[in-house]
Amino acid sequence: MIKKALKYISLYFKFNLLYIKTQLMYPKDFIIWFIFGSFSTIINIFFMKVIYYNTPLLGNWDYYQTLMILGYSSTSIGLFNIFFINIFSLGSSYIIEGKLDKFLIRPINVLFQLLVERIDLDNISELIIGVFLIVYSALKIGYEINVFLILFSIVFIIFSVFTLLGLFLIFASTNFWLQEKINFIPILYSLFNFSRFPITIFNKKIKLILTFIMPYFYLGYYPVNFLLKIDTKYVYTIFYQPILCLIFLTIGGIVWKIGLSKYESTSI
Amino acid sequence: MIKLLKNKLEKYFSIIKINFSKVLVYKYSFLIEIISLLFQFTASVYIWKYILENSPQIKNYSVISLTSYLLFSTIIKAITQNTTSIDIEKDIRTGNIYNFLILPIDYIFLYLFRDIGSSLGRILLNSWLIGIYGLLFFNVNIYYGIVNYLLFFISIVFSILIYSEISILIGLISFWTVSQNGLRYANSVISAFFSGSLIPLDFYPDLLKKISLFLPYRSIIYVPITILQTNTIYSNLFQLLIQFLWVSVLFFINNKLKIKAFNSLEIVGG
Repeated sequence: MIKKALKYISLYFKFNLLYIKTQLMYPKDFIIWFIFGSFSTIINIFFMKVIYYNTPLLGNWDYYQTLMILGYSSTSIGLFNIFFINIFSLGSSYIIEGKLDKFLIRPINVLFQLLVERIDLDNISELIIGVFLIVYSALKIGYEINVFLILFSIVFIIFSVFTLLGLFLIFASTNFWLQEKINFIPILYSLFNFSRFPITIFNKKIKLILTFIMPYFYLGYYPVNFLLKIDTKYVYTIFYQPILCLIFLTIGGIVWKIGLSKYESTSI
Repeated sequence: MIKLLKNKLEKYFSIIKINFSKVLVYKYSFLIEIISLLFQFTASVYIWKYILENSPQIKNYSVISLTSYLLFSTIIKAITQNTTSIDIEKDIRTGNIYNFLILPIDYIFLYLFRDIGSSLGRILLNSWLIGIYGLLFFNVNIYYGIVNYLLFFISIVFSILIYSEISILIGLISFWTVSQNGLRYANSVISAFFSGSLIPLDFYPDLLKKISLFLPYRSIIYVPITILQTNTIYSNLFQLLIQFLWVSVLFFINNKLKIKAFNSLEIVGG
């Protein structure tokens, strides 16, 4: 067991190195992408500014508190993009174009190979800005940065990232059955828009859906609300997340396994 | 003379036709595109509804007119989207571009007409879906004057052209950078912000509003919708003129870049 784990860890770094080498083929482009990769987060900050230019409070939340939500959600999304972005092309390219074949003939876990084939270090800028936002807004609010905050953030951000992995896996695996070239992942990406705001502005249906069916509110709102205790009604909702994470990973794993057994190569 | 012109137009007309039918083939991926746009729309409607309900009538917008603004902005976003910069980059990277050098078609016109064709396809395929979604689930106003709608449609043609020309510009830059993912991404993000697709530019702080005046992006979404929503005909015509100016300026830049690029073109293999 330990031997196997060690093998996978060493493989992980080897795959990483391989990908970084291919990335450095275009060094200019890598630098440009590194700079511009942060644009979406910066624009989101601008957008927050515009919102608070027009209103002092957004559902009891002031500017820095909402900025903290943005920080948490950007950090989770950044981490997810760095490590698991290859799921994006699972349906559209790996399954439909039959690229999955090359993974199947190697004696390594297929999902592992899929995930490590692309480690998107470009997205590191989003991660950096996210962490910066958390620290910056915590300082501005006057929330003491202590060991508890750091541990809490790490644990729950990891839960968020793995919940997303499960969710994305479920939707990406549908392409094993649908032979059409449909990629559901952009829809999942567009839902990130909901994760950056206090949820009190949304109606009940959206709250329920994005809490239990598509757990996007856990990316930003629930952890911050637990720390700041602004909406007392939802302070402890965050503790559903470990359970949801487990559920989504399990379902994702099962769907992926069944789908993989149905996989038919399309390449020649 | 007329025959020559007819020949020329026929060429480009068939480009429009081909890309129109291409859209219909990939209808599922466009459906996905719409659904993601609708989620964005829903999120921003809730945010601005909340803000307006707590401080009503800021900047002359009511909840209904703002929701309609966001609905039309979603429709225009769906219509104007294109893959031009990706395709031009691919042409350059694979050396496929020599195919276009030997054809009697202007490279920039080719892509412009291509985008017009696919935009027509999108109008037919998905703009009404977005409209129906908005009418069913939100309180929106789509009853504006006939003149407004007429100017609105002209303005949308301009905005398709402007967005297409910006994409061509980004694509042509990859003659010098080889691969341009970063630039393309930055462009899409900046255009989302400065085109007024998230909210009307009137809501922006003064500095950002001033910056937006000097960028072509505002002509893509903000201008067409203000033309639709305001009744002062002279200012509307003036906005159209500015759009037309942007079309010409971008076309001029693109042409210069194209000539420069084609003169220094090197294709490895082929």
